[in-house]
Amino acid sequence: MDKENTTIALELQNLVKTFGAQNEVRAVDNINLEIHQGEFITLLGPSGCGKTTTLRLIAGFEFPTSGQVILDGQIINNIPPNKRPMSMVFQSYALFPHMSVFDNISYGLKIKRMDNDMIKERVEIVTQLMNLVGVAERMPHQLSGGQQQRVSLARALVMQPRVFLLDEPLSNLDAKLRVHMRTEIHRLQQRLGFTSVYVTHDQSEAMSLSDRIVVMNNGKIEQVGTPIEIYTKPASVFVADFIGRANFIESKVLNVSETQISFNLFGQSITIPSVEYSFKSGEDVYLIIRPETLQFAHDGTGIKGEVKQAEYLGSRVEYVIEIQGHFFSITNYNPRPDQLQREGDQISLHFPADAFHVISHPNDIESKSKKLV
Amino acid sequence: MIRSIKQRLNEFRRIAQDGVLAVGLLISSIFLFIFVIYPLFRVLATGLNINALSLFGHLLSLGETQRVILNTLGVSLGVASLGTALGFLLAYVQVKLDVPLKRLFHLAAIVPIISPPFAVAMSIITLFGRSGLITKRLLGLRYDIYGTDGLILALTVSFIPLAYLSLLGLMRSLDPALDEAATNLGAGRWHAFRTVTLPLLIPGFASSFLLLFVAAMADLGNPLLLGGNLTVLSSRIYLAIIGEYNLESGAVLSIMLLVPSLILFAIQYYWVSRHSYVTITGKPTGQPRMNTNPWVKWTLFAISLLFTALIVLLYGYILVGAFTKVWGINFDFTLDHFRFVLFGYGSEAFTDTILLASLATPIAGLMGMLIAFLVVRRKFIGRSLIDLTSVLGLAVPGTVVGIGLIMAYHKPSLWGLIPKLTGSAFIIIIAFTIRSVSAVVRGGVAALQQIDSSIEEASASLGASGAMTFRKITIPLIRPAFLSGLISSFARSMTSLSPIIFLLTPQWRIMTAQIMNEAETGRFGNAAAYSIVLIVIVLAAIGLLNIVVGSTTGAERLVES
Repeated sequence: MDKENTTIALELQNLVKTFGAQNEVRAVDNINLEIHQGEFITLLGPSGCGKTTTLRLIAGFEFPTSGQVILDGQIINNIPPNKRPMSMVFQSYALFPHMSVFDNISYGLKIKRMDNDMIKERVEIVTQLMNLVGVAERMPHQLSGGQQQRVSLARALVMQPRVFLLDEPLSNLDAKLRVHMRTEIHRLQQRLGFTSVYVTHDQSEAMSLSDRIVVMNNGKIEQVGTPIEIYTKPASVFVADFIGRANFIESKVLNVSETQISFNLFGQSITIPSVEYSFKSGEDVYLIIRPETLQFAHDGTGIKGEVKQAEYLGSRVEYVIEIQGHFFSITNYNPRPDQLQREGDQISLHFPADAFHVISHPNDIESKSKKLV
Repeated sequence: MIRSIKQRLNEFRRIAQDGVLAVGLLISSIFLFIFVIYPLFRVLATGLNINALSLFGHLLSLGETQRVILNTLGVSLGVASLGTALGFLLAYVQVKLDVPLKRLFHLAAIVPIISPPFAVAMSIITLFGRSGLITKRLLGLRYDIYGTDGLILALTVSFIPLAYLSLLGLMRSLDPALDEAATNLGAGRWHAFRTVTLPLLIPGFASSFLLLFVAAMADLGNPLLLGGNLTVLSSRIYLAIIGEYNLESGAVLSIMLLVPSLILFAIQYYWVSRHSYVTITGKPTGQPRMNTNPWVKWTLFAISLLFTALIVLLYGYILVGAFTKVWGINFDFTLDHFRFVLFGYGSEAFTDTILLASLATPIAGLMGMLIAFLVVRRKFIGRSLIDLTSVLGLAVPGTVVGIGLIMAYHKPSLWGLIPKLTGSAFIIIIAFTIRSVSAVVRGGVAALQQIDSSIEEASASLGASGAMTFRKITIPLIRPAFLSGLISSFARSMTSLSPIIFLLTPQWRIMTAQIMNEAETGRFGNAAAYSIVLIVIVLAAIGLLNIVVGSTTGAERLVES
C-alpha cells in the first residue's frame, strides 16, 4: 500500500502517561506516531514497555498525562471510550459470559439503536466471515478457545470501527491455533483494509501481520519501520537483540570516503557502502550481523575460531563459535550431515560485508558480544 | 502541582460525562456525608468539647464506669474466644470430617443470622433461668442466668454465624495440595495440621475474633434483657439517653464505645486482610483429605451435635412460647399471642416494620452496588474516603449511629438545609439504610474484584455508556452478590434494634422494639410470637427475592428481545 498517498487516520503527539502518586512511573514516555488510513501497525516490545498503555490511551481507557491523541485531525484526549469510533479485542477476549454469541456480537449495534433487520444482516455477514455459522445461540463457555477468539474479533469487526485495536489477542491460544488465527487476521485485514493497532510481544506475529512495526522499550519508541527495515536495519542494540538474534561486535571506524566506509574486524579491515551512514573516522560503533548470514569458510580463508557448542535441530544447526575471546552465534540452515562441525573443531568463519549493519556505540552499554552466550 | 490539579479535574470531568454515574456518585456522597459523617461528627463534638471533657474525666474516675468498661471487655473477650473456637470446630467438621448430619450442623450454625434480638435471650431465661424448664423443673436448681454467663451464652449463639462462615470460607479456599505436600514430605496428620494448616488460618482466627469482639461490644438487646445487675457500655448508654435523658454523658459514653470498636475494626479490616496468605486462585486442585482419626472425628461430632441440640432447643422453645398461654409455666395451647401481633394492638408494628424495611432495602441495595462499582472501577479524588465512609456503617456500633442521628437532626441543621428529622419515618429508613449499605458495599466490592475489568471495557469499547455498562453487564454479572445484598439488607433492617431504639415515636412502631417492650414487661408470649413472625417474614423474603430477582433481572431478557 502506498502510504504517501493516504491520509493520516490516527496521530499520537508527545504522548506521556505516568502512574504513581508522584508520577514516578513513566509508562509512556513522549511518543510520537502517525498511523495511516488502512495501515496495520504493531506495537512490539517486552512486557512493561508501555505498548498496552499506549493502546489503552488510544482506546480511551487511560487518559494522557500530557500530549495528544488525534483522530482524523481532531484531538480526542477527553472523549470517553464509548464515544470513540474504535473497537478493541482483548487479550482475555472479555466475552460477556451471560450473553449468547449472537447477543455478544450484536451488543454494540443495539447500543447504536440500529434496526433489527440491519443488525441481523450485519451479524450474519460477520459470522460467515469468521466461520462462526451455527454457534450463534451458544453461550461463550460452550465454545472452544479458538471460537471464543473469533467471537471477540467478530464483535469488534461488526462495528466497522474507524480504528481496530487488538491487545495481544492471540496470546491465550495454543501454538498451532495461534499461527492459524494469525493467518486469518492477515487475510481479513487484506480483504477489509481496516486501520489497525495491534499489540504483541511475539515478533513473528508482528513480522507476519504488520505494514509497520513500532518497537517499544521503557515507554519510548526505539524504532518504527517495515518488518524488513526493522530486521535488516535495526536502529539500536535493543531492537537488534529483541527482533531475531544478532551478534554484536565492538569496532572503530577506520576510513570514511564518499562511497565507502571501513571498519576494524579482528585485525582485518572490512568495507561496506557508506550511503546510509554518517559516521566519522575514529568513531566507536557496533557491527551487527545476524547468525544466519555467517558462513563457514571451507577454503580456509576468513577468521579463525573454535566451535564451542553445536545443537542439531533438524532443519538447522545452531553453533556457538569463539573468536579471540568473543562468542558468536551461527545458524546453519539445511545442514548436510557430512558437513556438521563438532564441539572443539577449529574452523574459519566468513563475514560477508553486505550482511553487516552498523550502529553507533552507546557508551553506557557494556560490550554486548560477551554476554551473548 | 497545577498539572496534578488539572488531572484531578479531568477525572471528574470524565465521570461527569457519564451523567447517570455522576448523579449516582453525587447522591451517594451526599447521603454518606449527611447521614454517616455529620452525625458521627456531632457525637464527637458533643463528647469532646470542654465541658464534656471534664465529664469524661469524671466518668472515667467513677468506680461504676470502670466496672462497666471492665464488664464490656470481659463479656466481649468471652464471646470472641468462645465464638471463634466453636465456629472453627464447626467449620472443621464441614471441611475435614466425614460424619453424618453435616448438613444439619451447617444449618444450625447459620440459623442465628436471621434471629431477631431478644429471641435467644428469652429462650435462655425460660430454659436456664431461676424458674427455667431445664434448671428448675428438670434439675431442681435455682440458677441465676442473669449476668456474665447468660450474656456470653446468648451473644455467642447470636454471633456464631460470623465466625463460622468466615472460617468456613477460608478453610474451603485453602489449597488441599498444601496439606498433601506436607504429608508427602513426611509430616504426620497432626504435624501437617500444626505446621501448615493452622498458621494459614491464623489471620482468619484473628479476623473472626475481632469481628465477634466488636459485635459483642456493640450489642444492646441481650445486655438489656439478660444483663441483670451487670451493666455494659451499650446498656449504660441506653440508660443515659432513655433513663437520664442526658445526651452529653450519652455522647461521652458513646465515644468510649466507639473508639475501641473503630480501632479493632480497622485492625481487622486493614491489618488482618493484608496478612492473609490465602489468595483466591480459582478452584482448589482436588478434594481436601478427610481426617479419619476416630477420636477427633467423634469428639467433634459430639460437640456439633450438642451445639445443634442447643440451637434446636433455643429456637424450638421460642415456638413453644409463642403458642402457649404463659411461657414456661402454663403450656396450654393458644393463638392469643399471634392474634395480638397480627391483628390486634401489635399489628401496627408488623405493617410499619415491613413497610420501612422494604423502603430501605432497594435504596441500600442500589446505592451499595453503585458505591462498590465506583470504588472498584473508577478513579476519582475522594474515592478512598467514600470507601472508608461506606464501611463506617458496619464499624460504628448501632447505638452510636442512633445517638448521632438524634444529635444531628433533632432540630433543623446544616444551616437549615435539613429539617428536623427525628420523629419521622424517614429517619428510621435512614438508620436501616446506613447499616445495610455497608454490607452491600463489602459484598459488591468482593464480587466485582472477581470480574475481569476488560469485560466492562469491552462494553465501553462497543459504545455503551458507563450507566448502560453498569446495567447490562455489571449488574447481571454480580447478580448473586446483589441478590444476597438485598436479602441481607432486608434481614438486617427487620432485625435491627440498637440504631433505631432512640429514634422511635408512637407513630411508627418497629417490631424489634415491640419485642423489647413485651419482654421487659414480662409478656414473653407476645415477644415470642413477634419473633416467630419476624423469622417467618425474613425467610419468606429470602424465598420471594430469589423468585423475583431470579427471573427478572432484565438484562438477559433485554438482550434477547
